[in-house]
Amino acid sequence: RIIILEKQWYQRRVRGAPTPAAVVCEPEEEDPVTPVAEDKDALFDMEEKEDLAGIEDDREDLFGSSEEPATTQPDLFDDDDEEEESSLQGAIPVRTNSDHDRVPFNTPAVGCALDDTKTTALLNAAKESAQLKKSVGWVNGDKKSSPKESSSIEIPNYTKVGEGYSSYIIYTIQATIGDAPKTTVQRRYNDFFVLHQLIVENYLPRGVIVPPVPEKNFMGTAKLRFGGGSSNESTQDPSLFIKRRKAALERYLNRLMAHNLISKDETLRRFLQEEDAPRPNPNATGIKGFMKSMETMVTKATARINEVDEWYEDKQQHILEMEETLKKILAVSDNIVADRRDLAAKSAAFSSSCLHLGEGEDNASLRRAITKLSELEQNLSNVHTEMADGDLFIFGETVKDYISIIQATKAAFDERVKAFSLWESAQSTLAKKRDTKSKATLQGKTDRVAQCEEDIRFWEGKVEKCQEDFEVISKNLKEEIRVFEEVWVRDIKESTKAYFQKLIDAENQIISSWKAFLPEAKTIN
Amino acid sequence: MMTAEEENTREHASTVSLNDENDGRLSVSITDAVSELETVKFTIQTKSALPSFSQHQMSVIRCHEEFIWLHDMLSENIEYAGYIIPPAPPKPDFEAARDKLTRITAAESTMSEDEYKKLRKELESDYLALFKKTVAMHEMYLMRIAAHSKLREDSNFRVFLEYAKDLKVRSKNKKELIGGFFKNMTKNVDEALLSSQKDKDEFFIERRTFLDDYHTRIRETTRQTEQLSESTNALSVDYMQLAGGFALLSVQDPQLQRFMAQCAISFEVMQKLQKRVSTDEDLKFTDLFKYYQREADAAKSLLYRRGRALADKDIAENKLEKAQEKFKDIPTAEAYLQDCKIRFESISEMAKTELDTFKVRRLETYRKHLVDMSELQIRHSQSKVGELSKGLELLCDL
Repeated sequence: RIIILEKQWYQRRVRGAPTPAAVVCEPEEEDPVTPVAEDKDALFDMEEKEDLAGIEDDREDLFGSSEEPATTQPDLFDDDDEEEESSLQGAIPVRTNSDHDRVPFNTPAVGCALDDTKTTALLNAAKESAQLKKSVGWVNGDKKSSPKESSSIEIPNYTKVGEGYSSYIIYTIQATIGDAPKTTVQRRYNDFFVLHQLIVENYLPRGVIVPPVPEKNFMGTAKLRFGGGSSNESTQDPSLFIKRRKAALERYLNRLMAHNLISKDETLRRFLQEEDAPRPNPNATGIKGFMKSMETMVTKATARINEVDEWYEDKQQHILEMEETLKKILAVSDNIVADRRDLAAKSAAFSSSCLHLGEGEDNASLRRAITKLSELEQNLSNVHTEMADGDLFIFGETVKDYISIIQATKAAFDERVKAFSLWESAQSTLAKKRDTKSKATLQGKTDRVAQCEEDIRFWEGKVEKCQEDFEVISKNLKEEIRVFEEVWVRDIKESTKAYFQKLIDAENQIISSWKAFLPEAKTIN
Repeated sequence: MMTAEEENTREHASTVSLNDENDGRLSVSITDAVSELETVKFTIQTKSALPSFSQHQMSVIRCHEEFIWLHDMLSENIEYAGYIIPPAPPKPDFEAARDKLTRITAAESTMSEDEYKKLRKELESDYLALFKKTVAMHEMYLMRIAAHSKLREDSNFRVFLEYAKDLKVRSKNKKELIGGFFKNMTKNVDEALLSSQKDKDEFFIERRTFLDDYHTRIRETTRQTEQLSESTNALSVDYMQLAGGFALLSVQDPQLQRFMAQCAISFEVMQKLQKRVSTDEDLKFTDLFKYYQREADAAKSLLYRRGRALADKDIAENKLEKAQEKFKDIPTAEAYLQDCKIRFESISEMAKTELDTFKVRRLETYRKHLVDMSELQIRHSQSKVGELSKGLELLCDL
């Protein structure tokens, strides 16, 4: 009877029926590495019990004692179940009475008919493949998970709120996600900034390349608040600043939604759909946040990975080169924009002096021709102004964005280094503990020895966890980089092509302007 | 050093306006030019059916100073006081280009091979453009004289075209330069005084106001055109740098290699075309306005001379009156007055014709330049569109 019950229970679990802690979809926020996202201190407090429990399970399994089903370990094994179902279908053997006593509930069928060493191996293999699947699954989603919904975010307009010092801009965001109806919310820049901080906190430690938020800009904002003076300069500057920021914010949101994992984030959805913007995490600011960032700096400075896989170093090198080149291109692009605006200005000045010259002409046909020339040059001036906007928005902003994204990539690489150094430090602590134990054993302090053994067990678990985390983050990073490269190639190609097209259109306008002028020139008599 | 190809100079010959007074009996063209150290030597070929010339065809080599000598000879000839003396061509100025060359050679070691080559190429094209310009301007000067029915008969002009050897013209020494400077000063003062002169002739009154006004306007326009041309050129430099950036990306990123290589090629072409747009703006607009600024100056000089002659006549009349009152030196005064009268009237008559032809010439030149400019611009933009479209097509496949 017990057997049957167990079997039923087991089968129910295998078929993926909802159990209290079962997880159906793969890309989910609950995962083994979530603990890493939280405070490092908490890591040892909160998770200790869970880890210990898990470790106990494994050990008991090996040594043959039964255990309560560990409800705290659904993550690790649920996916295994799904895996097992497909790969080990035929392997569900008949359980013998003697075995079932020893085998804990949550161990899949693997454990019962096979011997111990094989068990461990298979267990590890299953875990690994599940995690591999899971890690790839997070970032990219596979066919089993819910497909990424198509979405489009627009910022159609903005308004200025308030006056003077306390004024700011409110952007209207329209979001269309999947089949859901369009939602509209109002947000100010600071809300975006807070959203970004929350997302970074959540996802960066997993090796995700978080799309960068348009940067804070004190000068621009100040001009905005106090600007609007009489001269042309100041009224032009703020509106250009807002236009750029608005476009950048739109791109930012669309990039977030394009990311497989981030697009499903609660906070992001709330940002896009609820009236109130998400609040900042109190831990992020203040002393705790400061300490955390200090810690980050220290780990970054001291860590070096002995790479087994050259891939990471090569990629980093490659990305640095790319950054260099992009910065050069951005400088050129900025020059082009400036020079084109200058050309527009000079054309306009030339146009007005032509008009002046035409008025001074005594011959009627020549006067008319020169006046037409003046008109022509004014047209050309307008074409150039438009082109400058094209230079800026189509091409320049894309390059600028990617320079920021590269910064985010560097941050992700750094997270991996951090994970590695945590692993290393865990390993060294373990070694020390082992040392202490052997010393205590030699000295015959049995009570100390027991304590040491407990410590060792804990640290072994820690080491294992750190290694897992490191491997997971490494795999994630690889995948993120792969996606990044794909998107980069696509984006830059599209931008460049669009730029070509815009230039073609502008030159065509120039052609038609001159063609309109030509007959006028011919009538000079 | 550099030699302008014959083709290029021929091309320019055709773009310079031909005065319709030229009945083909005298045709002058600059067929070659060589730049040596400080000077440029022009090879001038003349074909003449006129009796005054000893041969039908001749070819001489002249330098800029000799052109200036010719101009001085013409301006100082009082018989030509009633004509608009064609303004002298500006001195060839390779200063800027030479500076650039020294800068580049100095920085040679700090640059990559490619960059150095590119800069040299740019410099060469700059040189070539300057060259073409100066040749065009000298040629236009000669053609203008050749087209003037009276001026082309000038003996100095003939010598200039015929004399096989060096004219041994020395550029003005300090004394002469200072003398010239003072002469100019007094002329300006005189002009100012004469501006309040009462003129009975409506035609000339109107002409003077027109020219004064025109001169100011055209000067402003010339300035704007120069700035426009510079700005257009700046953009071409940017295109070159952009091409460089694309080339870098092409090398670094294997997935983008062919795509970016194509982009680099397209923008190199864009750079060339943009540069041509800039040079044409310079040639067709700036030079046009500058030339007519000089012509307007020359016309003003003519009016000044006439005004001077009128003032002289008036003074002579006064003198005669005084002499008649005092019963002294009446014949001298009368003779003098007669001289002045004749002079004044001949100048006035010549001036009238000159100013009319000036107007006609202006219309012609403007027409030619504006039409040429339009056609060139259309062609350049079409080339740009062609290149970009072709590039875009290729990019869509990559």
